[in-house]
Amino acid sequence: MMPHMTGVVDVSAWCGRWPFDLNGETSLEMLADRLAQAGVREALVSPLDAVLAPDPMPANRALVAASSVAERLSIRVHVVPVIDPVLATWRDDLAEMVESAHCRAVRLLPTWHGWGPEHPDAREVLRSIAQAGCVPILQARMLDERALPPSAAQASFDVSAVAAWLESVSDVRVILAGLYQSELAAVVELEHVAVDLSFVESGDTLANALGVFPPERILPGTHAPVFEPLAGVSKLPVSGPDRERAIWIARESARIWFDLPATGASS
Amino acid sequence: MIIDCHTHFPAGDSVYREEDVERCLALANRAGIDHLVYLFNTADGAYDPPPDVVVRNNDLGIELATRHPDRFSAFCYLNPAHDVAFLEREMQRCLIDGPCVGIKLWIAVKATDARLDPIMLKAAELGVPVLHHAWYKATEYVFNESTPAEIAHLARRHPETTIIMAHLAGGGERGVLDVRDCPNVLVDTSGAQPVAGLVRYAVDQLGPDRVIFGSDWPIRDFGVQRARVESADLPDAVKARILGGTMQRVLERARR
Repeated sequence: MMPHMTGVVDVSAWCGRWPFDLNGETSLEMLADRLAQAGVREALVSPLDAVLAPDPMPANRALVAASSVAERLSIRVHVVPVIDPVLATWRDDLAEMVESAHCRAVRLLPTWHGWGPEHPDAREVLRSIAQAGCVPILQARMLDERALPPSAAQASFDVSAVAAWLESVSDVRVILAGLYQSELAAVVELEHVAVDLSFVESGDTLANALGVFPPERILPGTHAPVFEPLAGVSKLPVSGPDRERAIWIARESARIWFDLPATGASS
Repeated sequence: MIIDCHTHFPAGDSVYREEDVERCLALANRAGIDHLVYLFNTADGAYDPPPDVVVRNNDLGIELATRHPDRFSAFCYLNPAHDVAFLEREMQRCLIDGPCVGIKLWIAVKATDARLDPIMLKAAELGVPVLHHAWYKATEYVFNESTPAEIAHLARRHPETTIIMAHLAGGGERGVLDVRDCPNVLVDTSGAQPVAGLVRYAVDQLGPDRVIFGSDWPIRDFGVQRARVESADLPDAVKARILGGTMQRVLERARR
C-alpha cells in the first residue's frame, strides 16, 4: 500500500445503491470500513438512492436510521440529507431532516434533479438551509459527463451560471462539490464559497488547485463509493512542498466550514 | 518495479529541459513510480499533427530515454495520415536507430483506417507494442477518435501486433467487453475519474496479464491513478503485475 494521508475529514461520501456501481450496494458500515482503510476519520455522507429516486426522503430516512449505530462504525459519520427543491414538499422535508438527522449540511443536486439557478426557489432553498443552521452542498456532478450512459443524459453543469446565482446569495456559505480543476477559477472571487477536491485532478492536483484557490476554501472529498476512496485521499500529498497545507486541508478545513466538533467530542 | 505505461510531457515547445524532468520525476517519486513511458508532449500536440510536430515530439522522447534510460522509455508518436515514406523514416529513426520501444497512435486517424496497416505490420516485425487511444464518449467526442470496438477491429486485422488500448475508464465496461476476445490487446488503466470496481472488472474479463497501469500524467495525477489500482479488490500479486510486471515483459520484448 502506498503512503497516504490519515485523519481526513471527507465531505463527499455516499452510501446505498448506485446503478452504475460495479461493487453493488454499499451499506453505511461498508462505506465506513472502506473510508477508514483509506485514511478517512470522519465523513459527511449522503444517500445515493436519493439521487435517482423521485422522492429523496425514503433514502434520507433510511440513512438516518442506519446512522443510529454510529458508535459501531469505524469512522465518525455526519448524515447529509438530499433535498430536491423541485418537490412541493421541500420545506417540510428540510425541517424533518434538520430535526431528525441533526445535520450540519444538506446536499442539492441541480443537474440530476432537473433544476438550476433559474428555478424560482433557487435562492430560497439556499437561505432556508442556512437559516436551519446547515451548510448547503451543491453537487455539480456525480460522474464524468463523458461516461454517462445514454439513459442518464442530462443538462451539463454551467459553472458560470451557478457563480452568478451564488453571487446573489453572498450571505450564505456554500460548498461546491464535484467541480473540475478548470472550473475553479469561475468561483474563486466568491469568498463565501468553498470547493471539494472529489473531481479536481491534474498533474499535481493539490498544488494546481492551490494555484487557483486559497487553502482555507478547499475541502477533501473522495466521492466514495462511486470513486475509489484512496484515490481521493491521494490528492493530499504526504510529502513535498505542499505537505503542511495538505495536512491542514485534510483535517481542519471541513471542521471549520461545517463547525464540526473536535475529534473525541461527541457529534 | 512500478511502470507507468501512459505519460506525456508538459514542455510547451518540446525542448528538453532538465528542470522539467526533475519536476516530473519528483512527482513520480512521490507516488512511488519507478519508470515512465513517454508517449508524446500534450503541450505540443494538435489532433492532426504535421510532420515537424511529430518529429519534435519524438526528439523529446529520444532525449528522455537516452539521458534517463532507467526512468524513461519512449514510444514513437506517429500520424498515420502522413506519407508512408515519412512514417517509415520516422520508425527507422526512432525504433531501429533510436531508443524508442513502442508506437503511439492518438486521434488523427481512426483505428479502422487502412493507413494504420504499414505501421502495425512494422510493429509486429520489430516486436514493439502499439498504444492506441480509445474512448466511448457521451459528450466532447473528437472527430476521428477511435472507440474500443474500432480497436478490436484493428486487433483482428493485426493479430501478431501487441496493442495497448488506452483509457480503461474511458471505454468502461463496454470497452473491456469489446476487446475481450482479442488476446493481443492489453488495456491501460489511465484516464478519467477513478471509478470504483473497474480495474477488478477488467481483470475478471481479460485476465490478470492484460491490464496494465497508466496515469495519463500530467492530465491526471500519478498518485490518484496509482491508487485506483492499489484500491482494486485483487490479490497483491495481481496488482504487482498490473503496476509493472506485465509492462516490464512487454518492454523487455521490445528491446530485444
